[in-house]
Order: sequence, then structure tokens, then C-alpha cells
Amino acid sequence: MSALFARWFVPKILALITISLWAGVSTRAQGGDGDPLADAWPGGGWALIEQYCIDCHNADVQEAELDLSSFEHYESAQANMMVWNRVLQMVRFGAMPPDDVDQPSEAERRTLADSLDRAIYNVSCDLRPKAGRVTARRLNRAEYQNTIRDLFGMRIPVSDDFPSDDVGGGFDNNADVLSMPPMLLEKYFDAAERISTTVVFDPATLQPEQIERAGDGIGVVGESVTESFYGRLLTEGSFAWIEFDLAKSGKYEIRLQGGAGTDDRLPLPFAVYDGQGKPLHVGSFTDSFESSKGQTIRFSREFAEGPQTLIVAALDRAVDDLADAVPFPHLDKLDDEQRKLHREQFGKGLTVDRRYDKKAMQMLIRKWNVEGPTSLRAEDQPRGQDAVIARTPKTDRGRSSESEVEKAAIESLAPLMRRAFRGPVDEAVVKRYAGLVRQAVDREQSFHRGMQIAISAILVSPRFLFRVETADDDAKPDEDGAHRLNDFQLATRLSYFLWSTMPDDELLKLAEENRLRDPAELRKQVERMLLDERARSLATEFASQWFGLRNLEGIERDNQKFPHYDEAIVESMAEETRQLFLHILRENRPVGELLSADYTFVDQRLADFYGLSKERDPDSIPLENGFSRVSLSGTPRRGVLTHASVLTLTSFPTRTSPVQRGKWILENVLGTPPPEPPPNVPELEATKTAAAGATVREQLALHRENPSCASCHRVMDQLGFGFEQFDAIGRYREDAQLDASGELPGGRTFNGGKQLAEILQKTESTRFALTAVEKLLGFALGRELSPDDRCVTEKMVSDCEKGDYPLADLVWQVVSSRPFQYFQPERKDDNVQP
Amino acid sequence: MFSRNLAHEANRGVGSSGAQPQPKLGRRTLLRGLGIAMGLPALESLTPVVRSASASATAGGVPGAPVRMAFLFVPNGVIVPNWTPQGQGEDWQLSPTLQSLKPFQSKLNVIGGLAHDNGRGKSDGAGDHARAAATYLTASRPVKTSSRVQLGISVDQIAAQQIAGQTRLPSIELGLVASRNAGSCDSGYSCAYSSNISWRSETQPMSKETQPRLAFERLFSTGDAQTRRERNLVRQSVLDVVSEDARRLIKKVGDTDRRKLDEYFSGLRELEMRIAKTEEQDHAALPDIDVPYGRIDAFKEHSRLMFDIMTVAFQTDATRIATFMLDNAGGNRSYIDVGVKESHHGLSHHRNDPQTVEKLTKIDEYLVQQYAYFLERLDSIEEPGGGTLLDHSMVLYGSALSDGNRHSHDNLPIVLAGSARGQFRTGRHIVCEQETPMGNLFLSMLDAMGTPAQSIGDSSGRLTALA
Repeated sequence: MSALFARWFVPKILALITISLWAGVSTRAQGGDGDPLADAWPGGGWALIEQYCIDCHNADVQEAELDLSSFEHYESAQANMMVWNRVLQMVRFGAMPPDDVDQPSEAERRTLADSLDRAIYNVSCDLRPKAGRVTARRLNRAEYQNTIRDLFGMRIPVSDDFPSDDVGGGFDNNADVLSMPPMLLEKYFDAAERISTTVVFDPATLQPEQIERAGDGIGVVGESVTESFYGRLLTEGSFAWIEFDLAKSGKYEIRLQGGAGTDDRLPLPFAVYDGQGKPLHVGSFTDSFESSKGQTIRFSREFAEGPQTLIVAALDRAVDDLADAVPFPHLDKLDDEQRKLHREQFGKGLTVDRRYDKKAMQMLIRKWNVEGPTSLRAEDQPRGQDAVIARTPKTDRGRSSESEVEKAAIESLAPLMRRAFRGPVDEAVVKRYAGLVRQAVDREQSFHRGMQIAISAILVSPRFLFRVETADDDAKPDEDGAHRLNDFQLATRLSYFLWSTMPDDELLKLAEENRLRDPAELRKQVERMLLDERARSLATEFASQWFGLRNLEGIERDNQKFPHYDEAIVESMAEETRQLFLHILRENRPVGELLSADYTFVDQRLADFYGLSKERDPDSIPLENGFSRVSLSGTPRRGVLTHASVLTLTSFPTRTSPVQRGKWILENVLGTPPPEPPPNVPELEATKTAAAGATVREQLALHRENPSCASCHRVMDQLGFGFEQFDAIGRYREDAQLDASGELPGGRTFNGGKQLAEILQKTESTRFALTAVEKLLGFALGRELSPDDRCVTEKMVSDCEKGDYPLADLVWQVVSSRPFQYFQPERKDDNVQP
Repeated sequence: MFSRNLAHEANRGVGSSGAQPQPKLGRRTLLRGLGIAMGLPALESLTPVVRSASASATAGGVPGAPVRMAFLFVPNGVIVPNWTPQGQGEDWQLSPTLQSLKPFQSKLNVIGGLAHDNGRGKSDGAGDHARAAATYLTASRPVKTSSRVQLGISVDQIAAQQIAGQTRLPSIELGLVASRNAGSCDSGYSCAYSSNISWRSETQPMSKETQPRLAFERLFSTGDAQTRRERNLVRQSVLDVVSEDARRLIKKVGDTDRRKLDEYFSGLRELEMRIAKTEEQDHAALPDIDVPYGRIDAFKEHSRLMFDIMTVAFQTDATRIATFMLDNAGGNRSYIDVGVKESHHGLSHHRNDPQTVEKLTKIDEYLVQQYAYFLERLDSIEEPGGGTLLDHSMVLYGSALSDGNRHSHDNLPIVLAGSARGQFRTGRHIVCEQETPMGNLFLSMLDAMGTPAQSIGDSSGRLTALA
């Protein structure tokens, strides 16, 4: 480590870089004596640096505070990878040296770039590639929401309240960036409580109502008398009824106090009906008014909320089974007139009859009680509840023993925890959670309430919130120190990669049977998963971030210039791009078709916006969500580069930006982000151009006169010019004056976005495939790729050359790669804590 | 079984490490209280702390109302000539941009000459906006990375960690714009740098709350006393169970994973402390302000709600420390309220075009007006024992860039309102020697807060001019 280098870094960074990267050097054990690359460096790369760079970047003159004198030492590449990499980018891109000093020839530039490249990525691809290490991953917002959906089979929107996840390495599932501030943990508690009370219903929260009807509260149709205690005595052919209103639907207990009129009528069969005459209960009175005060009949029924009627009438003969009972034959007698009469009498009291023929009285009806709800109706139970509560504890006189509560809780929790924790869970751990249920019951709360608490706990456990990969106790690392994922870990990586959610039952079952790691089975599963609806997350989570579609949200436009621009059209724009991605993925089309597709997906809104007619296209294929696949032949559009989404997100509020568009292509298609602008150079794009009266192209031409800007902008601007036919919201502009011509390195000329897209698809498809694979692998692993991964990604791409890099094959390459199937446990000396 | 669990738990914190601040009531007292509380309407023995807070709290060793601190962040720098006041010391005039601060001129200091050297590019190259937000309250250099973020603890968190346990929440972090959720935010810097100014540790940014209603509920948990007690009791039992999961897990992992799980642990600890705290506090004092649900789109309404929430949070001593980002670094809001359609960051590279400079000045003025609104709210609240809430606070407003066009990290535009209960002399335009580290101001503020630190970031001493 030279003193010069030490000046470059604050000590923290120094620690980070030296420790982690020197470790890399020692394991690779390359460089130094006998290494042909190292031997070639002084006369190759270093000679060129001395010739072209060192004048402005030495210990005394440090342009951009950069001193390259230590580059003399070949080994310092490994220790200072960041700086070397930046120099490589600059050189490869042609950004350095600036135009106003001596320029290397193209051959020299290539030599320098190649030797820098080799010095940095001093990895022999013949060796087995490193698996790489992935930090414990917290579920991000989308993953959390999807996992809850699949765990309980219910959509419970809670993650909107979570703070947005930061992005690292281009994706918001990056383990190193996903942190857990106390505020978020608190929100996880809130969310868990909301979810558990939605998924499981606690009957104790029902707050039952009590309704009583006696005396004048009971209506009678037909002849009747009122006895001394206001019981109603009915003659044959009469019936009694009540009405009441229920605020809540649910299961209610009904108690009917009554009896036969005389002993000789015993047993007196009767039936209870609802307001539509449907039988609710059948039974027989075994007590009579003659010798007792009657008896109480109890039964429970489910009611909807709202007004209810109950009718009781004697039957000619006994009916044993409710199913055999017929509807009430005299329902017509309970007409509006009767109801009116009853309501008028209600609350006015009854006159007790003193003289009547006791023998003529068939039935006594003294009182009705309706109490409840005691539980929800079956159809009102939360949909997820049955899946969660396997059984409730048996009760004995309303109470359950501690061990019975625990047993029932374990039966319910064990399968749930296996799914929630994405793998087997020790019995002792399940028992700990079941303890929460027991504690609740001890506190006089219901079993269901206890289950709610246990489920809340599951949802805030680190085993749910984090995906931590640890080696099994008996596992041995291979000779490179990497562990192969066990089947459950593989199932989890797979489902969060392809679905952004938990593994489903099929994956868990295969994992349990140790069959998932079998390549044929794995392949089958990947194919199944890509066709599943859940794979849409690859569009909404992966492609949306790769292409930056999420940045469309919140992009503002001058509404005078662009009155057609609103939230609805932005959503249609983004969906078009997502649909194309999904189509190419599911049909396993070449990845380059993303750039050159001569068809697209539009809804009516977007069709109008583009001026496309869905009707005129006989091959239009309608999809479910209002989108149709339409042909683009005869239009100036091809592929994502001409999607309104991409064109909009690379523009400014009032105008287009060829620079942004060029930069987008460099980053997302060619995988070569342009080097950063030198510090303290204002962004040209930000300057106001309208006042000057110059076109953007003229402005940019001025810009390129500055030698330190020119080298990069030459490339960026040319790419961007190709899309000048499209305005700042992606509409085609018919303007003969518009110049959309440009030239790519190597003399490839084009005019317009369509030609440029086709050139890129034809000549850059390998680079595009490499970009796609790098993005896919980074997303799948939730980490930034390292130089070690380069051999892997290059091999993946070359393995898919046949068929021109079909997208689903690239996904399969990722799944079957070593970094995806193995992990490197952290060694103590990897500790970079300062 | 339950009570045994609790008794055992009473002797240790939830977490695996770190000192546990002592709650005023012992755990056992509290938990015994909880048991009784199940059947009783109120716990008379637990004195409401809100009412007694001002009597018991101390700051800087002086008894009296507690000192509060708030840090406001605006992106993209300012138009420096229009920002800088005429004159120095006590003889000065407010600049055009700062006119709306007129009513509080005697209660604030405009401070010039402070710098964040760590915001400069040096060998890290571009990314001045990300570095500006990152250095703003940390004075530390962010490691240039898209994923393994590393920075330094921020001034608000140094204070928060020392007074944790004295208020319901150690601190609140507010903002108006959520973190960007695709791609990178600024030239290879993780978005975490651009969208957070509060850092709990070198590696852990404190995400900010952007929905006023959620911020409000977090500060003043809703629901009646019975519901709250039940929830606290349940949460405590859940904490016991899941912290055991975390303890088992942490034994098996390497250091990086351990750091992630430590974040989890410290979250549990904070939650546990809050449970203890809400039990003590009197929720009858729930502030009477109307905070709507959901997202608020209009800038002015949104920011004012946040200011209102900070005001009541300070007033009720729910917290004493707040950070508030009016936009993320490099923010691109169009300030249509003042007739500026173009995006803020775009405009900020004005290259001295007079029309653009005028538009930016309008934006600068407008943002300062929001600050003035906050000061007005704070100054309208008299505190027991005399003085207003503003008098007892330190409210920092500023940007970590001065000239947005050139991305300058020196001579930062900074206003510090409130005298921290008379500890600072106000009503001045303090012009420090150029390149004075901003961290020096932070150290002085921490002293005034009663939570001193030896250094922060690249600080070189105290800002003695304040006293």
C-alpha cells in the first residue's frame, strides 16, 4: 500500500477495500512471479498509462484528485479495484484522455483496456466459479405483501404503510441495503396484528344482543286467550309469531318457553319457521299448561342481519328430522294486516282472560328469547381461517384443559409455521408459540384470540421477516468452502426469484422429499412457475426496475404542452412494457426481441394515444386485462426503446433528452453505464434551451466542443438522437425538419428509432443478453454482482447462443448456476467492521 | 408459566447486547401493574409524565423545560447572493430570500461559512447530491457504493441514543418524498444516501415517514386505555417469543448477517421501551389536531401537516428530536404553487441565466416560508415556567449545497432558530471562517441538548460563536 494511495481514502474505506480484496488476492494466489500477465504489464498497460495518463494524474498534479503512479505495480489492481475499474471505464469508453491532449490509437486503447481488464478481473474462468455470499434478506414490501397473500389466501393490504425500500445494485430486493429501522419493526407489529385479526375471527368480540318477546310482544293469528302470567294460549289452528331486527348476521341461540295446553295432548309436536315459512326447528312439548308452567326449548340458527320473523305452530304429527319438515302451510295468514294489528298492540299490554275453556287450549307460548350472535355465519368466517385453525380445543362445561389448548394450538400452528418459515420447524419452537395461545386462554380470552396472538408473533419473527441461509448442522462445505443450498433454501430462492413470494405447497413438498435439487425436476418446476400467474412479479418487480418503469410514477409534465399526460396513460404505458416482457419470457422468445418486436400490447387508451387501430389489425389478440396484442407493421415503432414508457422516463418535463435516452440504452441495453461526468461540471441537460432558440441537437453540439465532455457525449448523444421523432411523452411527431439520424461506432448509420432498434438487435444481441443475465442474476441473488461472477454470466450467455438467447432459457441458466445454488458462508476474516 | 416468563425476562433486555436505558419504573413494577390493570380502569400509581416532563427534565445540566432539536433539509442548494444577509454580527438585514423570517429575526442566527468537506468529490467522482444529503447531519464521507452502504452516525441520533427512554419515541424521521424505487439515485450511490439524513449507525439509515397520519399514529398511539394495555401486554409476550428466535438464529450466522439481526434486536428493544413508556404516560393529553388519512399530494398542505405534527410532538414531549426532509437529495419537484413548472434539480443548474435564477429564488423563498410557518407554530406555544417552545428549541434549516449550479459544499446556507433555552445568543448573522466544519455546529448543539459528543464526522471543535 503506497502512501499515495492512503491519501485517496478515508480510513474506513481503506479498511473495507484492503481487507476484503487482499483476502481475494490471497485465495486466488495469482500475480507476482511467474504470472505472464504480471510480466507483460510494465511494457504493456503501464507503458501506455505512462505515455497518455500520468502527465495529469501523478503525485504532484492530481487532476480529479487522481494519482495513477501506483498503477506501476500490477498487484495494486486487486487492492484498489474501484479505482482501477473507474480508469478502465474511462479508457474503454473513450472518455479519457480528453480530446485536447494526445490520443492513443484505437489499437493502443484496446490494448490498455484489455490489460487493465485482465489485471482487475484476474480470475481464471477455468476454475470453479465462486458461489458468493448473500446477506440475510429482509422481505421487501412487495415480497411481504405477496407472502401474506399466499400464506393466508387473502389479500390484506398492509405494506402501503411501510416505508419504501431503498434500492441497491439497481433493485429494491438488495439484501445489503434492506435495513430494519425501529419504525419498520413497529409497523411489522401493527401489520401482523391487523393481519391476524383479519385472518382469524375472535367470537368473543361479537358483543351479543339479547332480544326478548313475551305477552303483547308475541303475535297470534287465530283464536287465543291470555292467561294470568300473560302467556298466550292458542286453540287448534292458531299460531304464534314474533318479529325483531338483527344488527349483525351470525349464529343466534333461540329459547322458546311454552308447552301443550292440556296433559292429554302430550307429547305435542310443533315446528318453528322463519318469515318465509322455512322450518328452522322441530320438536315436541312434553310439559303442559295444565300441570306445569311449560318448558324451555333451545336451538341455534344462523341469521342474516335485518328484520326477522319467527313462527311457531303445532303439528298434526311428530316430525323427527328437520329435513322432513314441510314449509309452513298457513304463511298466507300472516299478512300485512296481521302485522299491522300486532304492531299497534305491541307495548300496550294485554288483558288477562279469566274465563275460558281450558280443555280447548292446544298450546301455550309464554316467551321467546333470541341471543347472539354467538359466532359468525359460516359464510362470514374469514376465508383463511379454516386453513389456519386446524381444530379448536375440546371443551368440558365450557372450559378446556391447558394441555388440550396446547395440543389444539400445536396442531394448527405447526403446518402454518412450516409454511411461514419456509422449512421445517422444531417441535420445541412450535411449542413456544403455542404457549402464547395458552397464556391467552389463561387470561380468560378465547382460543381464537390466542391464535391471533400466535399468528402475530409468527409474522414478526426474524424467521418470517428475514431469509437467512445457514448451513445445516451436519453439512460439510465443498473444497471451495461453499455450501449447496438445502432443498428448502433452494425452494425459497426459487420462489422469491420467479414469484416474489413464498414457495407454494408443491415446492415445499418436493423439498421435503429432497427432490427439488434434481435438475430434471428443477427444470420442470421453473417451467411450471413461469407459466403461473405469480410469475407476473418478474414484470412488476424485475423488469419494472431494470427498465426504470417505476420511475414513471411521479414524473411530471408541463400540462399545457402535454394535456394528454395523466396517471391513467402512465399506467397503460408501463403495462405495455410489462406485457411485452412477460410475453417474451413465457414464449421463450429471443431476448433481443425486446428491442425489435414488431408487435406490442395496448389497451384502448394507449391505442388512441399511439394512433393505432385495434380493429384494423386482423391479428389483434385480446388479453384478459383489456390489453390486446397488436402488430406494429407500418408504424415507426419497434420494441421497448419506442415504448412511450421508456421515451417518457428519459425526457424532461418540457422536452426530450437525447442524452438521457442515450444513457438509458448504454445502461440497460448495452450494460455499459457511461462514466460519471467529471466533478463540478454542470449538467447541460439542466440548462434552459428554449430561450437560446437553438435546437437540442445544436445545444449538444456546443457541449461536445468541450473536450472533457465530448468523448462520452459523442456516443450517448448519437444513440439518443435516433429517438428524436418521439416527443417527451413518447408521441410520434410528424416533422420533416426533425433530424433523427446518427452514427454508431464502426460506421453503422441509422435514421430513426426503428432502424436504430433493429441495428441494436442485430449487432448487439450478445451484449444485451449479457446485460439481461447480469440483471437477472443480481435480482435473483439480491446482491450486487462481483468480478467473480463475470465468468458465470459470460458462460450463461454463451450457453444460450443457440436460439439467439431465449429469455426463459436465460432464467434457467440463472437458476442452475453455482451462485444461485450454493452459498459461501461468511468467514471471520471477511469481517469489515471498522 | 406466563408470570415465570416475565420474571425471568425482567432481569435482562430483549437484545443480546448493549446497555439498556433504565425506565423510570422497573419492569416488574410495570408488569405487576399490567396484571392488575386487566380488571381496573386506571392505574393511579403511574403518574402522568407529560404533565411532569417539564419539571423533571434537564438539559445542559440546567433544570427547566427540555430542549428540543429539529433538522430540516432542502435539496439542490440556494441562490447564494439572494440568500446571504447584509452585515454581520448584530448589525445585519435579512436577505430577500429570508424575508419571511422577519418576525423571528431576534430569535435566530443565520450562519455562514460552514462546510462539509466530506461532500466533495475527491477521488469518488460525481454524486454531489447523494453526498450532500449523506453528509448533511453526519459530516462523514459516504462509501461510494450501490449496495453496501456505510456512512456515520448523524447528530440527531447521537442525541436520540442518549435521551432514549425519556420520551415515548427517541426521535422521529419525516419526509415528503419516499425513497426512489428503481435504478440508482445519483452516480453510483445507493438511494439510501439520497433519501435519508438520519443515520442510527454507520450502516443503518433511519427510514422516514412520509404519510402524516402514520407519523401521527406512531407518536400518539390511538385507541382507548384498555385497548392499549391489552396491546402492550400482548406485544410484550410476543417480544419474548420472537427474540428467542432471533437469539437462536444469531448464533449460526456470520458478522454481516449478525448486523442485520442486530438491527432487528434494537428495534425490539425500542419497542419494549415504548411499551414501558406508553404505560406511564397519560393519553388524555392526546393532541387535538386533525390529521387526514392516506397520502397527501399538495406540497404545502403536506409539509404543514408535518410541521404541525412535529410541533405537537415537541409540545407533548412525545419526542424531542425530529428530522424532516422537504425533498430528497436532487429532488425534482415542480413548485407550481409559486408558478415554477420546471423541476427543481433541473433548474438548479442555472448557469447564471437570470430567468432561471429568478425562478430558483422564488423556490428558495417559498421553502423558507414553510420554515417560517414552523417557527410561528413553535413560537405560539407558551411553556410552563415561561418562554415559548421555539425558545426551548434548536431548529436547523438548510441545504448541504450552497451553489447548486456548481455543487459547492462550502459556505452552506444555514439558519439555526431558537436559543436552546437561552444557551445560544440569537439575532445575529454569524459569519464563520470559511471551511469551518459543519460538525462543529453539531457538537455545540449536542452540548446544548445535554447529550455531548467528542466528535462527529470531520468536526474539529465547537462553534464557540454561538454562545
